[in-house]
Amino acid sequence: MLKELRKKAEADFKANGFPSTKEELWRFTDVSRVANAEFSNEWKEASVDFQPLDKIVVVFENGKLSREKSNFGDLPKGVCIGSIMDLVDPRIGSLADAQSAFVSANTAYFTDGAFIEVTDGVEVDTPIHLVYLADADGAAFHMRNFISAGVGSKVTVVEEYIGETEKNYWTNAVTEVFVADRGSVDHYKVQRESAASFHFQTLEAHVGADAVFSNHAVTFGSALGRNDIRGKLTGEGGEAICNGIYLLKDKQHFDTHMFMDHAVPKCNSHEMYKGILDDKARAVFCGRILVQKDAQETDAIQFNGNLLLSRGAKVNTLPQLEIYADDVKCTHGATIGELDDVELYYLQTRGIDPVKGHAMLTFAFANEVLDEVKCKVVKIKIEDLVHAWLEKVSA
Amino acid sequence: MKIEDEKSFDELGDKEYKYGFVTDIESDSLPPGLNEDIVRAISKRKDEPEWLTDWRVKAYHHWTTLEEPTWAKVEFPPIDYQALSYYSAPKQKIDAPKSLDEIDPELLETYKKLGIPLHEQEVFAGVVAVDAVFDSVSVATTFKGKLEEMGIIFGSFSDAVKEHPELVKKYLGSVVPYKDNYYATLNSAVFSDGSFCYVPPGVRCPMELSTYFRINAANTGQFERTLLIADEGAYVSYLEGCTAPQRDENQLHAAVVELVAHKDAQIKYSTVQNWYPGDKDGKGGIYNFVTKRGHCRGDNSKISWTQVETGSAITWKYPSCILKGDNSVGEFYSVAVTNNMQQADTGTKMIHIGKNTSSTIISKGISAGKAQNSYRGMVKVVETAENARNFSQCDSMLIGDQCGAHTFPYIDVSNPTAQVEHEATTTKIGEDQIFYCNQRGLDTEEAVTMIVNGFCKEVFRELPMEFAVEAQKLLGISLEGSVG
Repeated sequence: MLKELRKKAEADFKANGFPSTKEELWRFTDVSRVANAEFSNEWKEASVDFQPLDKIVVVFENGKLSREKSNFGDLPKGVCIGSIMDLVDPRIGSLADAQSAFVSANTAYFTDGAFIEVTDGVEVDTPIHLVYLADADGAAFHMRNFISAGVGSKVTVVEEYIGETEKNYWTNAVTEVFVADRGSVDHYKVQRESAASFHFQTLEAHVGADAVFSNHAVTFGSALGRNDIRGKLTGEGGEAICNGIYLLKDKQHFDTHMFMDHAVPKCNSHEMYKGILDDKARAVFCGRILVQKDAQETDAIQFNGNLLLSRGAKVNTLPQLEIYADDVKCTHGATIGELDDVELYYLQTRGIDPVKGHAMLTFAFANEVLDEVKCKVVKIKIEDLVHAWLEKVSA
Repeated sequence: MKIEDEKSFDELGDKEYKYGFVTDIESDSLPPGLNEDIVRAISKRKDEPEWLTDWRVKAYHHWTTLEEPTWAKVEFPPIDYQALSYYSAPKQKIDAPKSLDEIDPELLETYKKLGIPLHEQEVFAGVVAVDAVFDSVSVATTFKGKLEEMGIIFGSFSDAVKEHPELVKKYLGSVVPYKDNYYATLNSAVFSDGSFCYVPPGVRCPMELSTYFRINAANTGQFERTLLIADEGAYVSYLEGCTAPQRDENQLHAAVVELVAHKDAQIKYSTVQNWYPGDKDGKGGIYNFVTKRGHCRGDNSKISWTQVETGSAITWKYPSCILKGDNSVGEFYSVAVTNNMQQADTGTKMIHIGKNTSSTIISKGISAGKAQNSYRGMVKVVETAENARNFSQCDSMLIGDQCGAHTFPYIDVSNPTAQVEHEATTTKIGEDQIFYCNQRGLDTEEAVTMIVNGFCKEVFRELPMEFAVEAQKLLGISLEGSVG
């Protein structure tokens, strides 16, 4: 099965190639730099530091699982964690096979990735920390992750991508998530790739009845990158939360494409994305909410806010609603602007100098998203990273 | 929404298009088809100067290299452009009519049915000047004299080409160039007639200018060309209203409207569009593919678009503002109602170029029956647009569970001092609201009309008085039979 799928994906990829800016979905993101680059697959050890969040940590080193650096902790019964190359599930590839050239390439060429399965009724208290270390110049990493949460189960997964500065490589990840009825998956992605790298990821999630899927994507790294986040609510009473922040500087270009498919009635989806852009950075945000014909009593909210810190920064935002049912509550909003002078002045009158005031207000802008982070250790980590980023920018 | 009393709604659904009739007047048409000879023939018939003929021919040749756009969220069978006739003029007496009495009585009858107060106008002195367009040629122009005294040039496009060629040459295509898009290019090649207005510096046009459009002769696409120029410090308010006779074959309407506002000038452009929308099964109806654009050329200029779109099988229309002058203002107020099988893809573009420019977008989409209603808009703030400000609000209302409402805004910002806000909501008419109205003695239909009118109030209050009344009535007619 998977073999055939991979063959087909390779054929698709070879036949269609990378998307061009003439395609509506790729209008604002030119991937010719990726298309024209040459990548090798020579493996080497990675010498990149990382901090494990908790007891369970699975480390991938330049695209390969490292058993030495990983720690599977004391896994509760009914939880299976390992390499996707060792474990078989017919659902691998059933959500993501050929949505884009990047997914096709991943399906065809993935070499490793995490496999997480939590059986029915099992709750995992410790967050499962997946770490992807990269420092191999000129390499391509096609990482494939699979997360399945059984009926009434609960799990927290943190994907962290860390790259060494100035290394030039391409991460092309795909994560498939299944949340069965009444299940809960709390998913985080922290992207701290090298400033010279390319990072693309497609996340596909199917959310069952009364299940909850939440996703927080925090982006700092990569020269050129994109997150495709695609959720489908397949059971009544399902809920999807997709939040994120992107903090970009220099000439970084980062694109977030979100698609939320309300296929059945009585589901909720909430999306909040915030962007902070400095120097000549450019952000693209496209959020599309689709409410299918019978998906009555849908409640969908989407918001995208952007803060421009400098001249030359640029934002394209496209919040979209596509609605075919009448008994729904759908709203979306988008804002773009700079910090309010009045607020800065207020802080100054309270003895806070403009530089500090600036940092405070910028953090407050991002904090609205951070507030939504449920997992405490992850929250602290993201807060620290945001503070560090802001310090660098104001210095 | 679910309402029990379905029987009465069926009855309501049978309401026929109020303005459906065909006037029997001999038309002087060119054979169907489109080629360079036809383009030249149109130009020759209209006695146009060489530069204009060349311009049309250039547009025609460019058009042959283009493909129809497919990005809009509308579906329709392919149009055979060679099967259309591109020129049709009502036969006239050898000399052009000098007063209303000389005009074909049947034509006057048509306008009477439409409710255009042509005769009455002489009595209602100075309320509205009508440059009425019957198919493709201007038939009567009233109040021209009064306007002339103030230096305002208002009349048909063809007359303007003859009497003020320098102005037409200067401004034609300066906002919507002939290469702009598929339909605008087609219009540039074959445009038949339209309105022209020039308001000289410092003049405030004392009356609302208006034109009523009407598609008549069978198989004739209508290609209006409107050009409005407000010179320094001038003000003009222009109304445009459309109704069309009922017909089974789809009719193409590809108009171009260009507005130019110089320093301190203001243009207010209001439209009530009620072309034949097709029957309940989507048969027939007008294809309304319009390019409308305003250019705030000078500092402190302002262009305001207000539209009420209730008709047409397909509406493809994005009245836009290019805010080039510093402190210039662009506004877009829109109500788009789609019922039965109607499709609308409409919105606006606000391009901020000058400093301190601001724009407001208020769009209300109402979708009923099996209709699809999309808002598609763009707000662009380029590097030079210091302190640009935009506020957009797009609200959709769905009536029934077979229709769709969609929002596709594009926001591009390249200047940090800009402040751009966009919000959109989707709602339906609550059963409790209807119930409340029923309780107070309003039947369900009246209740729906009232609630929808309330939903659209922000837009209606931007319309000139007489239009606002008409628009509210139209909304009622358009939504008849949709509840259930």
